[in-house]
Amino acid sequence: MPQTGMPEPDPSSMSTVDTLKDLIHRHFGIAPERIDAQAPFTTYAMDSLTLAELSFAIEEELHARVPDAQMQQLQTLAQLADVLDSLREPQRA
Amino acid sequence: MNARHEPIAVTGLGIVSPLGHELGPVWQRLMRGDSAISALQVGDLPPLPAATTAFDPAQWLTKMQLVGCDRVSQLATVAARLAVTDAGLAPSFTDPTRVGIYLGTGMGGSGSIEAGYQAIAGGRRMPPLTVPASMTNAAAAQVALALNAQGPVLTYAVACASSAVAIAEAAHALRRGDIDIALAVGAEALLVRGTLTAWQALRALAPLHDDVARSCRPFAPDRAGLVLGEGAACLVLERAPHAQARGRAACAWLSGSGISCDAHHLTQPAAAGQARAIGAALQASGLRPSDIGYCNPHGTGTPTGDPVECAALRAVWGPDAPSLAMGSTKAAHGHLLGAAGAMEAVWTTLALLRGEIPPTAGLAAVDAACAGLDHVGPVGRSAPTLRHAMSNSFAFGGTNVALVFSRSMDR
Repeated sequence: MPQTGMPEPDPSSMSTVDTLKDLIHRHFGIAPERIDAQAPFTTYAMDSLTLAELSFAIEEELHARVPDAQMQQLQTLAQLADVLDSLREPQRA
Repeated sequence: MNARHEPIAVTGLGIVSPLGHELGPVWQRLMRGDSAISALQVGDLPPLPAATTAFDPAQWLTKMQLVGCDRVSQLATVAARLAVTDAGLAPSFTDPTRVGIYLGTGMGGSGSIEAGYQAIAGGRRMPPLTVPASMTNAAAAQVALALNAQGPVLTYAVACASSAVAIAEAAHALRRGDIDIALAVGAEALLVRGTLTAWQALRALAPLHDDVARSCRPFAPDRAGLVLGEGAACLVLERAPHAQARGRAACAWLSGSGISCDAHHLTQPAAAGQARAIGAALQASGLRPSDIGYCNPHGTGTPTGDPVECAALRAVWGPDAPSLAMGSTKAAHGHLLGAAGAMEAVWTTLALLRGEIPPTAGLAAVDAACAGLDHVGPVGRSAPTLRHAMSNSFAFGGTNVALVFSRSMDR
């Protein structure tokens, strides 16, 4: 992870969208402020390969697996965050 | 019979090598007889001599560029970028559709394959980009993506001769008029557990020598096998009118090439087949053996291979053999397998450009079976009258390649 001198965000206090933005930043170098969660992934150069890698990173770091078929249908980060929240909901219950 | 080849201009060079990435300092190290070979510990394997390349991809490539990009592709991309800059072609090609990539690699994306098998063995999910990262043509494709090369993008997997074949084929494509600019690349990154274990099982690798840096000892009486290395090299090739039109002088000329196959044995070399490739390269270049002032031999340091190559050279050179200067640079950087042909073509070009012959580093005594040639070592030699030089690459599978380069009088 790059040493920016900035304090690391505490994942437990972050929204799912912000957690995903942080993960995308660390893995793909895309600045969080460039990412509009409502805009298609392609507007910030995320394509099918990077989304496959993102899915893998989510599984490794967030311990949640988005089914491949579902992942391929998602168009925006907000949609992905909703799916992750729904996957986590049973764990919280 | 080969028709004489049209000479092709070498107008740019780029390397990412165990000895470094800057041509000038690396050349000085070669001439001094330095070695980049050190002990490599991978997992639970016993330490092996190897020539690793100090390379931080983050210094060269963005995180997005590194997605699905195996180490072999990273090395290839950076070497190609350096060569394009050296050739004065950066930041972009005038007509990308007239630029071709001709890349040789022996083992492809070994690291990605290794990671995939480790995932299976560990019960983890397979990394999703294992296929596009490890496929044999991935490195060529990544070079094309990085540089926007839109002509033929081809991969040659001919074991240790891969990138020598790539250079020869790139030159033919230029002569045919298929393209205006060719990037001939060699890349290899195989220093991972599975691949090292496979090579070790073949019993072709040298053990650690007391002086680890001298573990690879081509032509020496006590040579004990090859030492694996990793890295990439790229040569920018053009026809003379194209280079002249954009005001670029050649570093050297690729005068001709010869390719043969022993059709004899999967791994054992044959002098007759090697001599045919060497003879064909000389004929294509319109040169006699005595015109060649330096040979960068295949010279891997195996007990079997070195005497066979020396026999082939003696057969072609005949009474002139004792005056053929040769130094195997593998003693300094190990055997880069698929990248060896391109890396050693760069050294051969620099030998002509600088009028110097690199040594077989550390060579103190020559095995009787390798005698009868002018072995240069343990350090390099000045050769201001050097005009023509040859680089040999001989592969498992029996393919033999000889490339002849000639000095440019414009530099």
